[in-house]
Amino acid sequence: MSKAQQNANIQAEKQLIQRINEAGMSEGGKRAGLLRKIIEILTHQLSPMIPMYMENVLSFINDKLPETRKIIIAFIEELSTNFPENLPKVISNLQLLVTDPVVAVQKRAIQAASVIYKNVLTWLCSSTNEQEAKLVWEHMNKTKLLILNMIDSENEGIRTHAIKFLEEVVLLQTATNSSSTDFSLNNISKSLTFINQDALEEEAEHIFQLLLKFHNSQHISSVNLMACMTTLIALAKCRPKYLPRVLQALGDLHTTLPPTLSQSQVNSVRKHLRIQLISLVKQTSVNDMIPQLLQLLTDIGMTQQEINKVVPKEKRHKRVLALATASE
Amino acid sequence: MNRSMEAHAFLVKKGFKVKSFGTGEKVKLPGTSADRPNCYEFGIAYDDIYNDLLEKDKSYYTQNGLLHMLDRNRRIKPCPEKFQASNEIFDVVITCEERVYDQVIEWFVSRKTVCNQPVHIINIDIQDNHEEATIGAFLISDMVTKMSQSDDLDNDIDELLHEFESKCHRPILNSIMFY
Repeated sequence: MSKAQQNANIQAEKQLIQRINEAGMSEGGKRAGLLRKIIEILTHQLSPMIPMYMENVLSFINDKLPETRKIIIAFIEELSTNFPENLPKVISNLQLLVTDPVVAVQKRAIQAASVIYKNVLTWLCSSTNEQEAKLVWEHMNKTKLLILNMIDSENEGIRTHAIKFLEEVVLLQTATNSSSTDFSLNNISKSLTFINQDALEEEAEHIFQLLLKFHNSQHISSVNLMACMTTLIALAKCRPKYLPRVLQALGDLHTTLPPTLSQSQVNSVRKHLRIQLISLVKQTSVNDMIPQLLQLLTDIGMTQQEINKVVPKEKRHKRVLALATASE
Repeated sequence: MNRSMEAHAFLVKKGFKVKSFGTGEKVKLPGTSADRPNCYEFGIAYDDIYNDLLEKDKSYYTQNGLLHMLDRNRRIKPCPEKFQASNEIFDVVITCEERVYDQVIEWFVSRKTVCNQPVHIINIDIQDNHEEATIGAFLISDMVTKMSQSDDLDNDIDELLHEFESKCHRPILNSIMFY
């Protein structure tokens, strides 16, 4: 390190300490502002000093201002992404934040949890300290179960966030057979003795079924129905094994929409279904189910002309062949 | 360039943090005949579009209000922006036409989610003329004000839009997508 760099670091550390002290003595929005600056200095200028000053940041986890607690969540998320070696020291805090009494903080924590879960799995595969790895895994599992139960929350937004988190969990806990570079069950090291891959896959299946059930429940709100539909279609795109059951669920939804929806909500849901199905039919991973997909597009009211416009010719041809075979 | 910018100007005056975008391939403005629209790339300055039309046919574009509209726009921001090219994260996206609503959702569907932050997409139909744009800006401002008064928008949005719809007598479409 050059002398100029050393001097810059000394200056930055002085500034950091000063702001930590100021943050301790201030309150409300001022403290939140200072905390943002502290995190910026720590993660951008003085990252080797994160272990030394991390506790000073995390000590604000019980701050009265929800905004401050959301900043702590962003800090944990950032550490899990760029400095995952600190995960053993921060992961237990996520569990607290997921059950925060303020809904906005809870939602931010659930949102961060899906990013952190992926980072945890990636880090576990490179971790050399088994005890630490096990501890992180146990905490992450507890957090996952807490969020899993939030699909029944009384709060709409929490349910929406929980759906999105569960989508990530299913993707991470199932194998991919494509050349995708995204982290999945295939990447989890078999040497991690405390992780049972079969159990993870079983849990993913259970969560997928839960999402299906939620999607086709009669009392679901229109917003959550659309969030869940997006999730199911994303799962069908990335994991074709789910496609037949997703198509079945979408077909069932089309015939029996929740009775509680207003006319505009029905229009929004039907439009959402149509846009999502069109995006699905364009995927190469769904080629085996093209006849069923095209049938569903017809069922939801698309004319042949509209279908021709959005579905490539070779896929439409596949439909004709499939129908001809079926009628023989 | 008309409806969204009218609403943009109105909402900024009310203190909201707002941006406006187009969603098409190009910025299209009516020309002197229906089959010859004026097309520009996103990013071109409103000043340049203004001067281009001024040069092409000053009296025609003054009469149809385009020069006036461009003059208003350049006071709000330097150039038209494309929604799909923006890296910003919004809490709510409001569209003024069903075709644009579809394009916004299609864009969200086509991209990979990164941070899983939800965004509410709402469409309220507004005809593309000066008078309707003014009325539309009032309606959007009214809707956004109600949203900002909610402590928990994700929880209240269904009810809030339902009430707003029955009050404004215009059909509303809404959806949720994720960044």
